[in-house]
Amino acid sequence: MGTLLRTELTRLRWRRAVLVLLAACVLGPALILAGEAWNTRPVSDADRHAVELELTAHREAVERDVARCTRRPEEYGLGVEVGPGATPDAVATLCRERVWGPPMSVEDWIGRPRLEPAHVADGAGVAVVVVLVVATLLAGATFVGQDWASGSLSNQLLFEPRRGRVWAAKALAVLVGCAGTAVLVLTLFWLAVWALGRARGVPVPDGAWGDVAAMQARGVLLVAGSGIVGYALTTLFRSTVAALGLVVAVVVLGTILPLAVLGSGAEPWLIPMNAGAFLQDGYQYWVEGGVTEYSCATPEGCVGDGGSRTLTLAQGATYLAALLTATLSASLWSFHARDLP
Amino acid sequence: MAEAVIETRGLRKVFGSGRDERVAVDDLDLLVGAGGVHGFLGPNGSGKTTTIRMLLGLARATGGEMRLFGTPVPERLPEVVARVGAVVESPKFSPRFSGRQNLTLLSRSVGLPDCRVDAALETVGLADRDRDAYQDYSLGMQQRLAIAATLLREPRLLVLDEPTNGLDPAGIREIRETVRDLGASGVTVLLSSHILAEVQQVCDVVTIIGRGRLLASGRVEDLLGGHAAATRHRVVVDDAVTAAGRLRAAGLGVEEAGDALLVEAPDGSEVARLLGAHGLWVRELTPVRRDLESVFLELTSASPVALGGGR
Repeated sequence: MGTLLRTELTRLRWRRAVLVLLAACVLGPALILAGEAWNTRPVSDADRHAVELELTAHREAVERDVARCTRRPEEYGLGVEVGPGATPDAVATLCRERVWGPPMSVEDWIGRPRLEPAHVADGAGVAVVVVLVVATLLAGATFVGQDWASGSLSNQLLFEPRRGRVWAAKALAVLVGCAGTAVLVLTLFWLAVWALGRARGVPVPDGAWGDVAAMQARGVLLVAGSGIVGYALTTLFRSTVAALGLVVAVVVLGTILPLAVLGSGAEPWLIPMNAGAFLQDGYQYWVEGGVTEYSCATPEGCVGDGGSRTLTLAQGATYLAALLTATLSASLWSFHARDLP
Repeated sequence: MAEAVIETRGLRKVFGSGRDERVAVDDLDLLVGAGGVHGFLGPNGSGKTTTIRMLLGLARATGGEMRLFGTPVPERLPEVVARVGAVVESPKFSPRFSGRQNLTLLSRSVGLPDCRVDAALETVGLADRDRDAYQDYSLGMQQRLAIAATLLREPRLLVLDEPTNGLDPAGIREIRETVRDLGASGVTVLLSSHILAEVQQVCDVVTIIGRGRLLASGRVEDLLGGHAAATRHRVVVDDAVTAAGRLRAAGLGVEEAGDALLVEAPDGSEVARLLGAHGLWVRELTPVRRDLESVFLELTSASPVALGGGR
């Protein structure tokens, strides 16, 4: 089995399409990282200057607004706070706060997020995993798809006729290749985030990196599973196009149609939502017209959920595991039982 | 009979089911002894390739038994597969990999050293094009690479399904010599080919099947002899019409073929004597030897006679 696995890893390494997709696995996250670094860049002197210019430009209009508020505070919702005995200065102060809002730093005014692990994990971190999932799905499919298209699989079985071993060796090669790529890319991505955050002096809350590590570990599993599913479906249908067509149909139509027909109540049964729940430790959704459920075991007393529901990590993992098991079983059975072309 | 290298009993393969059911191989008993070159003939769709594919584990038999080197297959195929090399239908390799890469992957998958690849490429004359992509090979080169793949493991049984497809005359002769040498060296070669003259030149024994059933099997000369009881002669005389009448009157079968007559007679001298007795002098009398093609066409007359690959 070791010999076969090494051979399949060599075949994987030699496939040009797989190499292109692996390059995309590096390039895509690199672009996402560059975008994230730009979007979270520290406020510069130029930014401050621009904000001040902007404020100056608006100051006149805002002061007019403050003056109007001072004359008619009730129009600005200040009727109760002002009261009959309030001095004009007190009214003006209240109005200035109301029109300008609470005192804000330039950073708050710009509203640019900081490079915090939790923020990156929910945005760019998820995007990187999605890129890897798509690329490895294609890599798993094209890896064995060319064997089917060229008929070289028959040739391989003339040398090693134990079909189960051949199937398993190829599956393991895909698993090792995809998981290895995911570990490498995600590690580099987060090392870069860590280094950049440290250089910018971004404070990191306790446990933040632990949460990121757990999420990325699940991301590695998701990426490896995606590669295996691409391989298994292509082996089942004996065609890359058919396998990818099915994936697109299931993910796109299989998401849009149930949501259109059944509404948000269908969400627990959809692949993207379960994948999201697995990756992000839960997925929250709202049931239209759903009954508000109350939990009374909170410090605030009984609290209603407003019709929101949570798809838990365990539920998502169970759903994905069932899907993976069914796909792999069908693929292995088909490869073992059906005649080769 | 030498030890059987290939043996099938009651082999059956059915494709589809219900109204779409099609019997490709029907109760086929095949016996291929050790050593020599065994021709495997049959018209299009006669079940040759399906039989080969079942023997090699690429297709499941619907019924019957198969043995390779006395070992039941496909159950115990892994035990004997190292002794078998095969090219089934057309060569099948990854098009973007080079010839060397394709062979290396096959070789490594069974733990053979890479030097076997060098030797195999050298044997088929592809050593200088080994780094070219397979898709850039000519048909002949692709065929030679397929044969190189079969030689990686020094097989005792070589199954070649239409190995000369796409080859130029020089390539065909090269393959013919390779096959003959392999057969002479003790390797058993099962050669499925639609070029019957080719088979006749190379094979010691042939099996002919039609519609999935065995039609004939035996040594080539025995088959030709068995189907040549009424030897045919080509006769040229000045007065062909009168000569035909005299010969028919003597109870011989006569066909006109241009200026000549084709006469069915066990002995050519009898034809000359008969005509001479009537003052008809023979200018030419040539025995027309039966070849494998005519035997094949006789045997498969109930089947489609278009020759070639296919199942």
